Amino acid sequence: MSFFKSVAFRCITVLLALAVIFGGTLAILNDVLYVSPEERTARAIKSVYGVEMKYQTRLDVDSTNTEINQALTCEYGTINKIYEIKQDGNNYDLLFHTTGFYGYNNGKISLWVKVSVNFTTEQPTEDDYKIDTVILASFEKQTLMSKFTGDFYANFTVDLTQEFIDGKIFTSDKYDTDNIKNIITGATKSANAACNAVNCVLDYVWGAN
Amino acid sequence: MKNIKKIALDGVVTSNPVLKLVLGTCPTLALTTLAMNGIGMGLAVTFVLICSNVLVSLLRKVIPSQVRIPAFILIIATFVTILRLLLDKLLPDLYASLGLYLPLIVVNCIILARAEGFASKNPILYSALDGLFMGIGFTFALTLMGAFRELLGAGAIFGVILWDFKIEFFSSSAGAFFTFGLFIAVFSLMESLIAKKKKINDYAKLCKLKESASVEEINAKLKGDK
Repeated sequence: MSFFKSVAFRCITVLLALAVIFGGTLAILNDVLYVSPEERTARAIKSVYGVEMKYQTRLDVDSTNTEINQALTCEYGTINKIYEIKQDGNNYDLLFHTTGFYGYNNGKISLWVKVSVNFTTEQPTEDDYKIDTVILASFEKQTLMSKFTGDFYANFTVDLTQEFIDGKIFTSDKYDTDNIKNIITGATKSANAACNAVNCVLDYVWGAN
Repeated sequence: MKNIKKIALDGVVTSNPVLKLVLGTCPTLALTTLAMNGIGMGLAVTFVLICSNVLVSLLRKVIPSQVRIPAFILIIATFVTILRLLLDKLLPDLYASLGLYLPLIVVNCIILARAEGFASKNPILYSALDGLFMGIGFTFALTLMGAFRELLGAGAIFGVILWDFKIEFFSSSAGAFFTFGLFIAVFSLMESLIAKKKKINDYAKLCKLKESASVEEINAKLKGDK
């Protein structure tokens, strides 16, 4: 009986009580403040367009629908999500969430890449596609991301459709003369991961090699 | 009232957590590339400081001293988790920009130091005010450093671009250490100048008194001034 009056018992009781009360509070708040995958997607689309847009999911690795819940892998990375956003007439945008491999420390960089598809014919041809916007989504193990300014991402959106049709890809290798260079001096490995993320989209749209 | 004034002065100036006590160095160095990040982190820490100080003060007679540190960490971790949930739901941009440093508030020395050093020994009101003013001091230092680094490193202030001139060094880690050192030096210099001025004023008062008063009167007057 003396144990129940001891300091040890009081210590255990207080810590247990605090853990139970705080655990319960957090469980309730976790439910109340839950952010659904749909809400996250709407936020991501808003970060690209500035306003909320209606979208159709073509591919989503996190979806419960087995028809679309797979990632597309390429030589340089993976495409995790593709959303189709209707524009005027037949035109539409394809919004890719793509992850590039082989960054600094073997880390990854994920980007949102918006490709606009503007066409007047029945079906779009490969020169109807254009990279419009590239935005950083997230990264892993990259320590020099502060070096990546808007100029770096803007280099991906210059109209290079013919080059993509010809099979060129982005590279951070300064000695590579066959492809399109987009390098950040001092952070070439991270630049490589970002280039790889966009190259995955090139692979999907233009069949780059 | 005197106590409140002391708490306010301690938090913002005499015991400024960043510039005087050199606590919370990790977010100070990592997040002050932008002034907005400084404000965001400062407000996040202020929220956790106030809430944890209030709860620690409320439970100070219930928590046995032997387990006070794990109990404080439990309290702080709970409020940090609540803050994370709130920011993710309501302010996702700020949540993304604070990134890894948000959960790291749990191990921020300022919060544990105030819980252990102040809130566990003082009533709720004073503890809440201590949390508030320490938070203001932290926010003030981070925002000032962020504004300085953003201005020189990106030629902008609060995201508004002012000129094209940039010194990229200030956006780098080395620039963070340099700015931190510079701010501590300037703060210490200002503090010593103020202390020196106060000493001179005291001496002048003493000299004036000496002409017309006895030693007892001078001592009584100086005591009253203090």
